[in-house]
Formats: sequence, structure tokens, C-alpha cells
Amino acid sequence: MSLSAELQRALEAARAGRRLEARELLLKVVEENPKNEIAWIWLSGLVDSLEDQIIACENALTINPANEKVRAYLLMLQKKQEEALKRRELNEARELLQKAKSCADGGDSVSALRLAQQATQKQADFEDAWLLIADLESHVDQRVAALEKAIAVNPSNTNTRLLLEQARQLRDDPLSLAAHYEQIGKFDEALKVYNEAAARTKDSREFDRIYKHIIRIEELQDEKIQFVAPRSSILRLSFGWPLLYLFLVLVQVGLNPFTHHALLLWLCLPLVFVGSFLLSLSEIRSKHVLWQKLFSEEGDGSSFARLVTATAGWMLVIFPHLLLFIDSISRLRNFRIPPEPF
Amino acid sequence: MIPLNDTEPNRYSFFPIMTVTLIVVNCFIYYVEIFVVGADYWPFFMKYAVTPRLIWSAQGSGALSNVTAMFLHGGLSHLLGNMLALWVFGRRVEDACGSWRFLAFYLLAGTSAHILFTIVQYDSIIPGIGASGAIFGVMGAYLLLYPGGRIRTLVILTFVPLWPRIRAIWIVLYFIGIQIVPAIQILLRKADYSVNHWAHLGGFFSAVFILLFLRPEAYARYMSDIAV
Repeated sequence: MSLSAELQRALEAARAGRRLEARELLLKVVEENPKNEIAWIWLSGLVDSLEDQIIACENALTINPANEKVRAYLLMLQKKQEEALKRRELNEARELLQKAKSCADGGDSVSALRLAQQATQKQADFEDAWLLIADLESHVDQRVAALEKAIAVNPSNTNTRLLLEQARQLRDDPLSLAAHYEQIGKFDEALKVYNEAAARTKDSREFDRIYKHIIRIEELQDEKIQFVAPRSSILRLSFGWPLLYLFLVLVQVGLNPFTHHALLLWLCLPLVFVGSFLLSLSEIRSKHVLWQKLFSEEGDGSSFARLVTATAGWMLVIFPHLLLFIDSISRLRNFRIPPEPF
Repeated sequence: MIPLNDTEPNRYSFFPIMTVTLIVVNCFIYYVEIFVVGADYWPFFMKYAVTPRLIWSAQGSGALSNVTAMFLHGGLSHLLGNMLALWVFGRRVEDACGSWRFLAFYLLAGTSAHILFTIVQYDSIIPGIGASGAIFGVMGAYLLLYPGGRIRTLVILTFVPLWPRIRAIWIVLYFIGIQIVPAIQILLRKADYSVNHWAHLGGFFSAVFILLFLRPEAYARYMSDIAV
């Protein structure tokens, strides 16, 4: 039987759906004549694995590079192979992440971190793995790097953005971040940040300062002190100076505002309140909207902003009191001293 | 019974700068009173002490006299008694407030004392002087903030001096208690006392305002029912 007859039989078998028989015959054909383009083309459709299909196509193209149909088919097969590879790696990465999470839940954070890193090696744009690394990583620089990778994968994740902002703050200004945690009543978080800052600092004075904060928060936790929100403290402290001014003006107008008018003095009362509010704001660390509005600052007020606010506050508190005492002195000039009764 | 010292240390600040400043200023003004004003005290007191009839008629220096009166004293024992009490009770109250807020509270307590005195003895022409109204406010604040506090107190029974650490509540109750009967007599019978009992009570009642002046940490402790 001639070779072409064998090929003919193979093609008939393939057309009749007898794939195994056709493949056997075609393999025999290409074994005897490796330059048979038709046999390789047909074989590419009959072999089982994607890799063998690609090899058959490549062989066909080596024989006849001008065959565009085979070239297009090869490209499609290669794309399919890449996708399969990616899918496999993604599945492996997912499995690794699952194992990492189990380790983290079991308290083995070292193994969890290693597995999560392996997952990112398999799949570089695996957001969940980067987030887990950021969560487990004890070094703040590496935490920032992991969160940057996570945000690069998914820029619309606001939670990751917030975590990245906090991690950067922890890296650049840890004491400020700890103070912020204290403000919002997260004493455990504050303590964690202070401890990290204490471990990182090489300055003994800085260490002493941080250590005092740690002792203070531990005392707060031991004493089970109720958390008071900074905003309520600002509001409470805003009333002190205005109350004093109110009482002083009452004394000035003879305890009866309706008989002795002193409109200017009364109009100054809101000024004292605003001044007192600014004083409280400058003292208590709080992410207040005024820092953003007046100084375009995102945080809880820089030293400069606090100084300006405190100065403005003192001026607004002192000015009405000065007016009041100037009014007292001017009254004293026209005062006729009553005779001694004794 | 003379309170001598509060032996408990400060919690928040190192030194009670405002308490000491107030004591120094009071002593300096007493020196001015004695050596500069001298015997011609009546015009001086009319201008710078609180006189209810002048306050009601909006004459004199009004708010200014209300402040200056807190720094005037009628004698050395008056000054020393007040300054000792200011030192004993003021130090830790200042610690809980911070210096400037303590000053504001001190002035507020003194002003409240003068307001109550002016309301009750509305037709009096006798000028009211002394830091005691403000100091009673400080004592009341101490009682609110440190109910379990103990004060080293000099007690002289017969001729034997003792200095036990007495609970602040008993000392404050003693000093408030001795105001009540004379204050009622002033109110009902218009009795004439050289001590301004109603101002003391006014200052004491103003102690509730201390909550507006406490530093946040001290306030949180107060709200948690823990010693400030």
C-alpha cells in the first residue's frame, strides 16, 4: 500500500469519526514521511493535548510557512495555552492564599506570610494576597509596598486607599497616627503603633517620650476609663470662658440687662464663645473640618495651624474682656464716692 | 482646724504655676494695700471692692471691682488663711484643669460668689473683699474631683497639737457648715457679720462649673467614676 493510500485511509477514518484509528494511521504516515504537510495538519486536530496540537501545527508550518490558515490556527492554540496556564496559576495562587488564611487564623503568621508571598509570585496582580501580606507584615515599609501593589491592582478600593494612607502615616509620623487612634478611642491600635515606634526609634529621648505614652494608655485601659470623643471635649471646653464673660457683663450692667443697656458688651459674647472654641480646638487633637477649611490640612492640625488658631482664640477671648474693663475704668472716672457710713 | 497640705502628688502637671502666681499676686496686692493705700481705705474699697448697692445701680467700676475685690484682704490673718486654703485645695484642682482654665474657673467662682452676695445683701453699702468666695469654689471643686482625698490638717485639742490626714469631705463640710447659720441669720434678720458668708456659699455652689474646665483626660476619669 502506497503512502498516499494510507493517508487516504486515515482521512476517511477521521471523517467517519474513528479518531483513534485515524490518529494511528497519521502517526505512521508522519513517521515514514515527516515532511507530509497534510498529515501534520490533520494530526493537529486529532491529538489529545494542546501541546501536541501546537507541535503538529508548528511542524506543518515548518514544511509550508506560507499556510496562513495553519498559522492563524497555531496562534489561536497558543493563546488558548496561555490562558490555560494563567488559569492554572490562578488556581494554584488561590489554593496558596486559602492555606495562608488558614495559617493566619491558626496563629502561624510566618507560614501565612510565606504562602501569601508565594501566591503573589504565582499571580502578581492578586489583590487579596497583597492585602493579606499587608495585614501580616510587621515591617511598615513592606506593608506600604504591599498596599501599593494592592492599590495598583484595584485603584477604586477605598478601604485599601485608607489603609495605605494610615500605613504611610505610620511610616512617616507614627506618633501622630497613634494620637489619632487615641482620639477615636482605639486604645489597642494606639498602643500597637506606639510599641512599633518605640521598637524602631534609636533616639533614647524619643523612646522615653513614647514609653510615657505607652504607660499612660495602659493605665487608661487598666482603669477602664470611659472614652470621651474629642468633639464633645471641644464643645464642653468652649463654654468656660463665655460663662465667665457672661457673669462679668451681668455684674457690669447691675445684674439686670434690661435697665442698664450695654449692647456692645452683649454683642461680644459670641466672640468670646468663638475664641474659646478656637482655644479648645487648638488644644485637643481632632480631625476637625476647620483644619481642612482654614489651612487645607488633611490631618488633625499642624503645629503652625494650632498656633494660629490658639492666637486667634486668645485674641477673641481677651478683646471683649478688655472692652469690659475699659468700660469699667471709664465709669470709674465719673464715679462719686459715697460717704463713709461709720 | 487648719488644713495644711494635700499630700497626694500631681497626676498631669509638674508645678501648680497658676496657684502659686495667684498667691504671689494676692500677697503683693496686700502689700500695696497696707503700704500704699494706708489708712485712706474707704475710697479705695469703694472703687475696687464689691458693694452690692453700687453694683445694682451700675455705679463704680462694676466688673473691674468684681475682679479686684478677689485680690484684696482685710488683714494678715485673712490673707494667710485664704492663701493656705488656696494652696491646699488649688494645687490639684489646677492639675486637673490646666493653668489657664484654672484661672478662668477661679475668677468664675469669685464672680459667682459676688453675684450671690449682691443678690442676697442687695442694699448693703459694706464693701466685700477677699479671695474666699473663689477659694470656696476651689474647695467645692476639690470635693467633686477628689471625694476620697485626704488633707493633712492641724487640729488643736486643748493644748495638744495633732496633724492627722483627714478626709477632705469633713474639712469642706466643716467650713460650709459654719457658714449656714450666719447666712440664714443674714437672710432672715439682716444680721451684720464681718464675714461674707453668702459669698462663700455662692463660691461653693459655683463648683459645679468645674466640669467645663477639666482637661479631657481628667473629665474622662470623672465620668468613669475614677479618682481624677
